[in-house]
Amino acid sequence: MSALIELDDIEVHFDVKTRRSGTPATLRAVDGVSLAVERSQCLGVVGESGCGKSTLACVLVGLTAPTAGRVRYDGREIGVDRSKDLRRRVQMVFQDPVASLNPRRRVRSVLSELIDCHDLVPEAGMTSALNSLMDMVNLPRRVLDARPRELSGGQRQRVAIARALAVQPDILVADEAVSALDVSAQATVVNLLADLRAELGLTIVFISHDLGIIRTLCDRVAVMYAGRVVEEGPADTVFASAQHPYTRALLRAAPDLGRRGTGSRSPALEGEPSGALDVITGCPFVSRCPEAEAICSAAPPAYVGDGTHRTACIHAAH
Amino acid sequence: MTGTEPVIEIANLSIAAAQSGVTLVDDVSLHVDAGECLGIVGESGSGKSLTLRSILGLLPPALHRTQGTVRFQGEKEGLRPVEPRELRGHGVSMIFQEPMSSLNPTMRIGDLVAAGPRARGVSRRAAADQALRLLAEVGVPHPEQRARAWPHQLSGGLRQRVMIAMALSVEPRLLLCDEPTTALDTTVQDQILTLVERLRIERGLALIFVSHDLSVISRIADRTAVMYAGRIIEHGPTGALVDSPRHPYTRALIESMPQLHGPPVRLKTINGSPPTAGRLPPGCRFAPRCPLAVDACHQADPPLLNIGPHRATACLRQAEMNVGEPV
Repeated sequence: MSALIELDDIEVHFDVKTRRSGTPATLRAVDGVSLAVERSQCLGVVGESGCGKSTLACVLVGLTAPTAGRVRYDGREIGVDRSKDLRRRVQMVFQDPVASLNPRRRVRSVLSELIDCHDLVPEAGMTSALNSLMDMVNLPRRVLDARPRELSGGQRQRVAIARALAVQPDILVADEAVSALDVSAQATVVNLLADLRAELGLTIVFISHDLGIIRTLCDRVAVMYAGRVVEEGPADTVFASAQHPYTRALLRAAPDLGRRGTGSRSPALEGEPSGALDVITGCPFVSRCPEAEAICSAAPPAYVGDGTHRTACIHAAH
Repeated sequence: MTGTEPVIEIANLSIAAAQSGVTLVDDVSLHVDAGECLGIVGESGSGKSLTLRSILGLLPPALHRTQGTVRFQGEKEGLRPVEPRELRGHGVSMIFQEPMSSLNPTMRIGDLVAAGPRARGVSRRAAADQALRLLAEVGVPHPEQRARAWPHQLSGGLRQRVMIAMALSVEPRLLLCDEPTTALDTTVQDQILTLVERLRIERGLALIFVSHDLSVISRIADRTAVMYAGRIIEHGPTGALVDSPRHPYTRALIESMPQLHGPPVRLKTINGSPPTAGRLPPGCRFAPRCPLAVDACHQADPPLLNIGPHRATACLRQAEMNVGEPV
């Protein structure tokens, strides 16, 4: 099967000035990322703050122009200047629905404007289109007449998903879409995304720092560190036998109900990621890696592995 | 559990909004022994942070304590009733979720940590030395350099370590933790939790650790209290509570959490949303969402009753919940 959306060696570098001396520097937000997502697949992108996962989301929906590399949709190369139809096809759900929904407008007016703009439904069918959108995201129809602040956090996020679905997209990019929600609201939104994928054949790129949710929702997972994908593969394989030392550390660091207990132990990983302004010659993880050798600092490690599971580490045992 | 006399004992604490009189925390009682960690878990609006903040009198101006007593074990005398301001800087410290907004941006790191000892009359030089020792104890690399840095120059993880050093500077016996790792990355959260665990053992600190995340609580707490809509609805040793919850809300909370081990399963959800304070249902607060609710549940709010050693639940149907049923 060919990929629906494909990133080919994407680089996003920002020219910045350092805070202290004002000298120009390059911030490498995304540094050579290649990923492909097939139709109806759900790809999870996991990583800690500053690893470039949100910048990657912006590249996918065309909000940020990559400084190098290509984005391909259904085999055709696309840029930031996208046709109206292409903009419609790739939609984004943001972390904070309070910030991404207009507080003065009722849900009905937000959604109907979008549907109108893309001429998706004849005027007479608008009410039924809006009703079915509400059904799709499991919200009562009276929510259409509410303003965002009258809704709970979970309801608001479902409205944000309805906003993205209103234009009948092929791809949904969800950037930390459930992170701000309470556990129970989080579960309803995660299940909703799983159902939408099954029912509509929606392709989802799910960006999160939460490994448990990625595992529940996604069939593939890409682990990012310092602007690069350090490991990528089928979710069950990556979770069962992680190859990159960073992936293993993340799994060990994540609190988990199934593995509890107090008592002193050493942290899974010391230190914090190096700054995005630092020039990295070798492996970006070398400063924190428990398995680092001299060779790791010399050159960025190439991917090893087969076509489905790849790891950027010289120690990976594929 | 240590089985010693509690360091702190809170009895029948209630907090209400001054103007509307709406009750936000309703009749909460808890205690913590020396060297013990009590976890309080609940979703936003459950009253867990208000309960914690009221111990030090840090409630927002529009809220006040309507009833309840706090008794604290002083250094010499036994458990005695105290006012919040007697505890600040004297036996009780607190660390918060957002370290940047809790650190004075116009003070250098060393001065921030030295401020506590200085206020207790320690000389400038001795306080500065103590600050360096504390920064080293909480794992700040190169303490001499870092002491001259400003808060904005540090990463989130280092800021949280500085806040912990400040908390330790007044030699507390009880450390109150209000979601201290929620804003941190996974690996940094792991580091801070490891640090807090180490300090607890080395210093014999008692902890009250508030979090919305039961998996964080299950890692750090000996005992756990689950709060819902302003009340403690279940309480018990953390392992037992997670393995065999005796309140349907606790069980629902556990089942709605994604797991890292075992086969991936579809998450279970809870119908509806928590009640708004001031518009509580007539009976049990969870009854409208509860799969086990019967008529009696809608009549009166069940009290928190002991159901075994160190276990309590506020559920009429607790006997019908299968003990040890896998989650």
